[in-house]
Amino acid sequence: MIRNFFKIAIRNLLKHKGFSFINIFGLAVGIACTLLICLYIAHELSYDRWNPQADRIVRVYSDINFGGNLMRMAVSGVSVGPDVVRELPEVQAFCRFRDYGSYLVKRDGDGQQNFKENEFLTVDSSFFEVFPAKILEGDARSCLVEPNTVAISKSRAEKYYGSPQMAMGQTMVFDNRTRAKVTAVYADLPSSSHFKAQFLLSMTGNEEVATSPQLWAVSNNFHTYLLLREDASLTISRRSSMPCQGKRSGKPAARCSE
Amino acid sequence: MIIRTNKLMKIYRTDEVETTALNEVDLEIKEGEFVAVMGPSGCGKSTLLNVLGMIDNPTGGDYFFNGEEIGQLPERKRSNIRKHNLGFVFQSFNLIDELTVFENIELPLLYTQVPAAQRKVRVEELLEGMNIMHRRNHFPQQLSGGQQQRVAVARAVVNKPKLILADEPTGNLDSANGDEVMKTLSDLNAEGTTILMVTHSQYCAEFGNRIIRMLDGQVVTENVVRQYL
Repeated sequence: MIRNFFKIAIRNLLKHKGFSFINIFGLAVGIACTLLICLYIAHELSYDRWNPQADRIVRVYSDINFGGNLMRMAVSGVSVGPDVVRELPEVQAFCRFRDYGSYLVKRDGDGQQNFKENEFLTVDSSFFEVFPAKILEGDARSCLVEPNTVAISKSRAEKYYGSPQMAMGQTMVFDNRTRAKVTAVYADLPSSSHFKAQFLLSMTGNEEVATSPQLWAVSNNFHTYLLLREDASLTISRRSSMPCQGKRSGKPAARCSE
Repeated sequence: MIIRTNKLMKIYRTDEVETTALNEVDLEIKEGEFVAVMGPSGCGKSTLLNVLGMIDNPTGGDYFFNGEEIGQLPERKRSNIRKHNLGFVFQSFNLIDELTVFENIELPLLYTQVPAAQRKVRVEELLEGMNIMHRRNHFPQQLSGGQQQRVAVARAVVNKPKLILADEPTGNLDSANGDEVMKTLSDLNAEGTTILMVTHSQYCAEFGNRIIRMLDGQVVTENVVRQYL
């Protein structure tokens, strides 16, 4: 009987070749679109799920009232991270990102060629505590503690040195002036990460951090992420955040939230 | 008694309208009878045929087929009874355009899982009997209306059903072709097959033993055309 169904279907297709083509092609396009949409949605919903601590990480945003203009930004002042960790016991660690844009990157040595690299972040040494990307070479805890150290992705290690092992301990030159030693190589971050980073330069000794006023309301250039302790809830964190407002500036200037 | 109904009801309901298509129909058909059902459009003839053919469920009353109450049987059982005991002939033939004459007639035998060799013998018998052997490899659209209806009749009888239900089998045919089909049905009846036929044509109805007239979902009169033997 099944054979009969196929017989009828095939004869029908052959009898109406044009319409069959339109129908099958249309169905194929429809199914393909559906699959693509499903894959896209699955990818969107998977954002940052690679991080097992994702549900414990919050980013500080700032509501800034500047001459009557209310601005809500995902960045905050340089001292917000350290202040919050000090004030709120629920917060286990903080990590700041500073994005200075693209860099010209080359290996140290004469006659080396520069490459423009766009995915470049300057981060606190706690980066791998908050975002536990897989470390292939080096030590996650200590790799960004020293000034002028850099952790690079596997793909960039292979691009510049051939392999992660070969990259370790090498010196790289950024914008023809800053030298940094490769202290770790990490597996490339998944495409479902909300930030992209092929280079993680240590923030230790960063001039902007050292010279910026330690106020919440100024120098809002840093993305500040907080890792909450396992027993802390976001609600508690919101409520507890109240005392830390305006400690330094004298007025409420930034608050902790998701 | 092949068919007996007792106060058979069929009501179609939509959100706004309730239509009584069959209203307490009491009917008895003996084995070997040729019964014609007549009546104006919308009087419930086709509904009666669908309910008796187990294509549709009655809303109320009892329906006994071969002595078995089947009104409330589950669909699987009903289709089992249907494929072994009933044959249908439709006004618009309802042949499958993609299958040849042979394959169309063979179709019910596939449902009842008759072996291929037996299928071939049985189909060829019918092709011979219906005078369409030379058309066995043609597709329905290559045949005249009369020939298509003969193929449809052959398909209806290939399983040797106890009952043939025909819904205006000559409605789409000219008189010569209509006559051929009616003769075929009469011959089948003479061989012992029970036939229940819906028709608008008095001429066709008189091929039967009995004429039932319906109006507004009810049987209003019954005439015996000739004594059923």
